[in-house]
Amino acid sequence: MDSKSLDSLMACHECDLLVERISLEPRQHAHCPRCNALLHVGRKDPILTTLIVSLSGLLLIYPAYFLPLMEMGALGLANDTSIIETVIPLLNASFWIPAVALLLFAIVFPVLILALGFWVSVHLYMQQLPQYLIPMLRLFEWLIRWVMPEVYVIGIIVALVKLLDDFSVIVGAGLVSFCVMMFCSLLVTTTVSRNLFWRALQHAK
Amino acid sequence: MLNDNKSQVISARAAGLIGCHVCTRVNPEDNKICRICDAPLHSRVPDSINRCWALTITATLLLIPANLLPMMTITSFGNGEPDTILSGVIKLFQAELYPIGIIVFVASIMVPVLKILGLYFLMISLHAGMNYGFRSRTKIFRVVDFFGKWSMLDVFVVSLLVALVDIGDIASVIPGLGTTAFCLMVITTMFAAHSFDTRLIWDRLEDKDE
Repeated sequence: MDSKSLDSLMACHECDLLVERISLEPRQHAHCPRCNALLHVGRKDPILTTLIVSLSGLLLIYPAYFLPLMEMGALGLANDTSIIETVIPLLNASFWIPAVALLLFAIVFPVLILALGFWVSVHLYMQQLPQYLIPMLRLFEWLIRWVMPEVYVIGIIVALVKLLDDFSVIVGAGLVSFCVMMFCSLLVTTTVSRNLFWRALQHAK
Repeated sequence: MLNDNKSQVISARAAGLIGCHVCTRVNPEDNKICRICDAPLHSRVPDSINRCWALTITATLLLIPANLLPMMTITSFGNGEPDTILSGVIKLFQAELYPIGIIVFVASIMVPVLKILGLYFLMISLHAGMNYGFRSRTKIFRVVDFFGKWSMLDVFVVSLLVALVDIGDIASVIPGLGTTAFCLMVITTMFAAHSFDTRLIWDRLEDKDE
């Protein structure tokens, strides 16, 4: 079978059914006829969208990571910790595993997703094929399973509600920018059409 | 071959093809790596069920220290009792923080237990050669896979509280060993779910047809 007829087919990743690869209009969803798995989603200008969303997220790195999350006080004493500093007490207490999990899943991977999304979309947008594009796209696909920005944001809300009971809390610029950045990170993982990314690469090849 | 009626229900493997799990392109079965993305190709995840059993049993064992050991101790003026996951949820309900209490209960207690039970059910159904409920079993897997990461919630909350509540002697939060066990349990279940190959459920359907 030549590569053109191979390209006209796809195998459902959940049930291995061989289906015809169809092109979709924006916002259309293709589901597997046998197991109903979501095969792919049509997007309008996916490459440009990824470029913009990931750039917006990247611009927020400094305020999100280094500005204080909140000012929290009781009896005149205050504490202003930034996101990066939340890992330090766990490390000091020798809680290596939770500290590394927090650092990777909630801090490093979301930024890595943004940086990779930006790097890949810039190159695809300019129709360039740098040497490491394929491994980078594969790393991107792998990271999508291990990135959990939305969980961390809900974690922040739960912690805030617990604290509001006993302390006075003033939300800081760090918290707001961190939440926006996590939202960008989440958008990159959900709205990007990975199918179209690979297709763009295929065309460029 | 692909144009007759039977092509409607033929799997990639039966057609002598392999679907790439990374870029979703179809490859001839002789290819060792994908012709588009260079990822290693496997028609089915190698040792899927064995790996899933090993990881799920590990997660079940970790569930015990994760629930019995304290997650954190909140001290105020030097006094405080260690809290396990369950006692933390109970305290949230006593403080009438119902929505947060429900979120923590679902993410930290319901999701891990249901996820592990779901994986056992899926694996046993494969060993028993169950040849019905293909769609519902695939759906169970999708739910297990989707909600898995939400169990990290409590680990994140503890680490935030440890970092934020540090106001001299007035109040501080000390992490407990339960955090490590819980964290490992969540990561193990995520690896278990990733190693489970849903295509094995559907292979049974084709065996039945033949």
